[in-house]
Amino acid sequence: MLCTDFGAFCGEGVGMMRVMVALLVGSVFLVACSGDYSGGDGATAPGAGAGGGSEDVPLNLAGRDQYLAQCASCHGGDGQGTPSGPTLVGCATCGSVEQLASRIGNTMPLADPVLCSGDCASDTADYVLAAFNTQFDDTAAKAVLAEILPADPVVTLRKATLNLAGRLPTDAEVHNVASGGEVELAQVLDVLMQEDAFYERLIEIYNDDLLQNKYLGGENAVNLLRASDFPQRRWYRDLGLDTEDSEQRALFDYLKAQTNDAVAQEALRLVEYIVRNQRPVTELLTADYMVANYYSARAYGAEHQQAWRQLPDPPFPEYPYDPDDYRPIRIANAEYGEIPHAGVMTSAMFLNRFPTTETNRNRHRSRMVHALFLDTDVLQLSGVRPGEAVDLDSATPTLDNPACSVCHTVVDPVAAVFQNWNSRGQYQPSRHNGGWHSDMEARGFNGEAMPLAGNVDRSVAWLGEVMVQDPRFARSVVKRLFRGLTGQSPLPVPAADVPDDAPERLAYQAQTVHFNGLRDALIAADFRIEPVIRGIVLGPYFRADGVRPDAGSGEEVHRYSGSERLLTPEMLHRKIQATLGLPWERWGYPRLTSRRSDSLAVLYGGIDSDNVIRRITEPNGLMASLQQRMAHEMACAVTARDFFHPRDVRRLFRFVERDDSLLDDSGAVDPVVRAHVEQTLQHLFWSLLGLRLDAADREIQRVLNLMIEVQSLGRADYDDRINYSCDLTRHPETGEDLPGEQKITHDATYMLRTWQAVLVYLLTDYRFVYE
Amino acid sequence: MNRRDLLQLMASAGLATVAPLGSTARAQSAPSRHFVFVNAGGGWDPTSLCDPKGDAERADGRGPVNHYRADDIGRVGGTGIRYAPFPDPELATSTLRDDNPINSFDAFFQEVGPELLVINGIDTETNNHDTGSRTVWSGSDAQNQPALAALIAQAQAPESPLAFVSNGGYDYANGHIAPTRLSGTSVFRELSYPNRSNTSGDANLDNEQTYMLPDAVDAAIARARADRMATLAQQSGLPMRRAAANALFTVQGGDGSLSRLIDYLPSEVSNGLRGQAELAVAAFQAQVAVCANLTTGGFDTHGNHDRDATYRMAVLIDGVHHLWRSIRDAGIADRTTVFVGSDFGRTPFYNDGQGKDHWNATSLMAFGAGVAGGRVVGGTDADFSEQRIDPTTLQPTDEGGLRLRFAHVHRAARRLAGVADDSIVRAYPLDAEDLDIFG
Repeated sequence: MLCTDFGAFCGEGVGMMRVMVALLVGSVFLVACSGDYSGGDGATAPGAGAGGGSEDVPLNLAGRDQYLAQCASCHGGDGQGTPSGPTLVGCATCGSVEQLASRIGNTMPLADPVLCSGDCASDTADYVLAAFNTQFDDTAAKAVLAEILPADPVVTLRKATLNLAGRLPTDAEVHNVASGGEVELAQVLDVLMQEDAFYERLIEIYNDDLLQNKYLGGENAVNLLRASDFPQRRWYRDLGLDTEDSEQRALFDYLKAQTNDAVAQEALRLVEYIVRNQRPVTELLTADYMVANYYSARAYGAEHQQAWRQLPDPPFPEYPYDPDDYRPIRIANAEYGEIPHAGVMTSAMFLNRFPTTETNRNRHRSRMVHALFLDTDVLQLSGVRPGEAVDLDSATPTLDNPACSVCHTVVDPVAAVFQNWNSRGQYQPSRHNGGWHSDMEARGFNGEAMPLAGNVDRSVAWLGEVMVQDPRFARSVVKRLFRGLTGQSPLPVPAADVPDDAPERLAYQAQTVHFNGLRDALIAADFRIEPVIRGIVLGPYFRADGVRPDAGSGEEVHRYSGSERLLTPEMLHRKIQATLGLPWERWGYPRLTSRRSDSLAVLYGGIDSDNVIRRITEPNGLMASLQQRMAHEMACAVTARDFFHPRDVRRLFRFVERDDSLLDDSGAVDPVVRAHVEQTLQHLFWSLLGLRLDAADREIQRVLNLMIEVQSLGRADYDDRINYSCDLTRHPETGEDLPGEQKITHDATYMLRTWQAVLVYLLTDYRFVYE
Repeated sequence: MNRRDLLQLMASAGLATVAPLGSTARAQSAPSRHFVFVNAGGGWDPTSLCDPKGDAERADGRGPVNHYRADDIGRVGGTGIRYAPFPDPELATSTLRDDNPINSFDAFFQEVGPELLVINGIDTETNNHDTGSRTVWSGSDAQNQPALAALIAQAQAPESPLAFVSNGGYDYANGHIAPTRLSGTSVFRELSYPNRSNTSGDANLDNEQTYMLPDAVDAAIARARADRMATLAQQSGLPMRRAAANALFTVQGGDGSLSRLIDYLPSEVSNGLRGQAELAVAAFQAQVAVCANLTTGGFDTHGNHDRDATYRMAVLIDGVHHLWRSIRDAGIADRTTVFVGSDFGRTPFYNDGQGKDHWNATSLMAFGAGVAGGRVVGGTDADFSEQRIDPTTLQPTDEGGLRLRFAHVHRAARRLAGVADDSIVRAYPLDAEDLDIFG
């Protein structure tokens, strides 16, 4: 019967259900589209304007009316597609009016294919071809992009190293990029994309969507594997370790953690494996293997399939295997043998994270597959149910009632594809799974029925193979990486009635031009993602630093030009470590990234991949207070510590000594110290905020004035004892007690605390908490 | 330069296009009205609570709507309010669920009933979780529709960093105000006194030895930061950067909200919905919050409905009852309004797994300031299908009438909250008639 929820947790009704009549009667059948977008829509074919180079093409007005009424809600007013329907620019049947009219006449609108045939189909096809598939004018969109002023290569380098690898650029990198410009910058990016931290960043980006980290910790992941399938799933329990003995307990905990967390993250580690080994990202859906480390391979009984890398100095010599060494394995369950892998889609973790119920019938999984890998929100197909639309009569509304089938025709074939995987993510061949529901559409995708021959027990693998051929797959890869790296959500398709010259349409078109370039780079590189990442980092949005003063597009168009983002807890954690050399911790646990109950991650807008799955991207009052807390604690922790070291190894105070007093005894500024202070401030502005400033810059002078105020105030009103948590009585590296003369516990000039104040100021600056 | 001066300076520098600052001229005073939105996540079954039907067999052979007897339905005297017994009566007394916080809905309905407005038979127009949640709490299924909580908070206290506290549920704000997540109390002290090294409960916060840097230095830093922000506002040629800097500055200045909140926090906060209620009430007492989203889940009872719905309803009603008492005890009942709702309803019959699936008809409960209680408006028939209502009496009618939707409820709620004419609220029109739902 009818199901219109493919939602988060649940099943949906067998039995009578109310019907949501979708008003969106376009289709996702007009697929297999490719080709370049570049234009808009309008009463004449784009290209008629400046720079387009094509002749005016009078549009078929009847076709246009038909298109706007029946098609635009899914395919977009500009034919570029929406989450509910693919682009019609360069689509597979867009070669001729006859070809497209035939397609429309036979399949469109999805809810009622007989509604538009004959002249209707011809007119609509005529309009679609003229409006979206003639020579397009992308002049205006490209002009918008050209108006965005990029940051210089060195500033971009700093932003990229922090973003991609969680570190500052080395002096050599800065020097090389400063002299070599864009070419050198691109080369550094290639190096960055081979660093371990980069792969962790990728995992972070993908987890924001896949939410696999929910199962980290304890035995949250291995408990989802059925003992009957994988008798060794908790193999470390079978070693006879005495958990009352502290040493054996430590080993037990180590093995348990390495096993569970590798199982939990197997889908994410597959992403890492693919990129690390220069494989196509299509393997995310098509890999005929899963990845594991030695420990999770043992849980699957597959440890003999690989020669595992060993650590030179393992924490437990009897288990020397590197937990970060992920390699392909083929998983076999005890009952049915090797499972038919299809990348992440057949991971038990993925299937548990996006579960189903008996009444939901894998529709939730179908919805998620569309959302995650096809940039398609099937919920938008549901639209508004007109009042009194209640289907009590249809035996199978999902098949019989066009108002239902508009959505279910898209969702149910893919849901059926998952029929060999039960609610617990267990594989069951068709001959053992009790058959599939006869009142649902058969296995298929995008209007194509799955050929049964050879696919009966590997239908998800078939699905993966056809999904990666769909142009929406490439689009989804581009958008995910763009969102992850810039922190900006791709702009939605403007409504059909938004005028051609409206700022939001122009902004959308400009972004689409950028995305299409990235998509082309992905395809040209045989679906390796490095060119996409390089394209994003070197592109106009990531690097935006301003808008040309003479820009003709206006401020509203450029409202979304840029990549200003409030750093996520993870990014802020890494930036603190990278710039100050110390993490923000309490009792040895990172305050912004730990999964303990006292973690500040969720408070600071992060996710736990379980109950909290959407990041907060706008700061609030608590988050601002948290920034101040962080700034005070870190300034307190690093100031005396940095001064303890010789100048040449300091990170921060490279040009002053802690007893260099800015004010002399009379309260006047010492000109010699002032010069050193300004030099130090220049260094701090660059290393902490990424700003290269002259000593006379007003930003430097503002901080100098702050220092004068703070030192004056401090010398007059406060004693010379440094707060006990900010002093230094033990060696920063060894932890050994320092001899009395090396301890830093007093601050007679108040200069050390003045520098502490400077750090608080800089660590709460916009450019520190944003990038 | 004080905060207000800086706001004006930034506005003159072209930052007024961003909502938080753009709103500053509209509201400057501390919040004086408060709203709580209690979300029963997953789609509750009103027939197991405030729209009970009983165990009569349906005419279409699908069995009864409920398994409890119609004779066991409770009533609130002097009102039209009827309420269900526990769907699974065994759980009321058995030890199966030792953590069942209550053993019936009697105490809640009998005590709160005279103040309670029950709105039955609302058509959510969907049975999808995401769409339903959005519709119930915003009045529309439009993708960009902010939650009513966000609209009220931005209209009444745009400068308050904690104007909208959210424990989850639908809290989309479309950039008009930032929801704040509150959890526990241990972190509040250290965030309230960011320059003290020791903020433990027994620490003397006035002892200068606990200061990493003194307050006077902090103030100097804040002044310098304010000057810096003004410069950034004037110099940055990137609109997105100006907007982001503006958003940060709006919350960065601080206004003592956290320290005021601490004065009202209980020494220990309860778990679950009760705890959420306690934090919300403390935030209201401290006059730092306008709206609070409270949420509890588990209502998506596709299997074994009676058992699971009993437990989840018990948790919900216990929490709401605790909220009602806390509001009363805090002396803020005259300025606090509470709404209780869920994604949609559940089928008026059981599936093969003794569960109930999704159903578009649902209910909403409200009490508190501005709500004429002891009433039921709207209604459903014996098979739990929504009935059309008379727009004047708001009672089911056989002739004409209109279908009650959340757009109606929200239009009325906007008027109740006094924000219907707010410029930002008006940017999210609701296509529905004006009904005098809250009295």
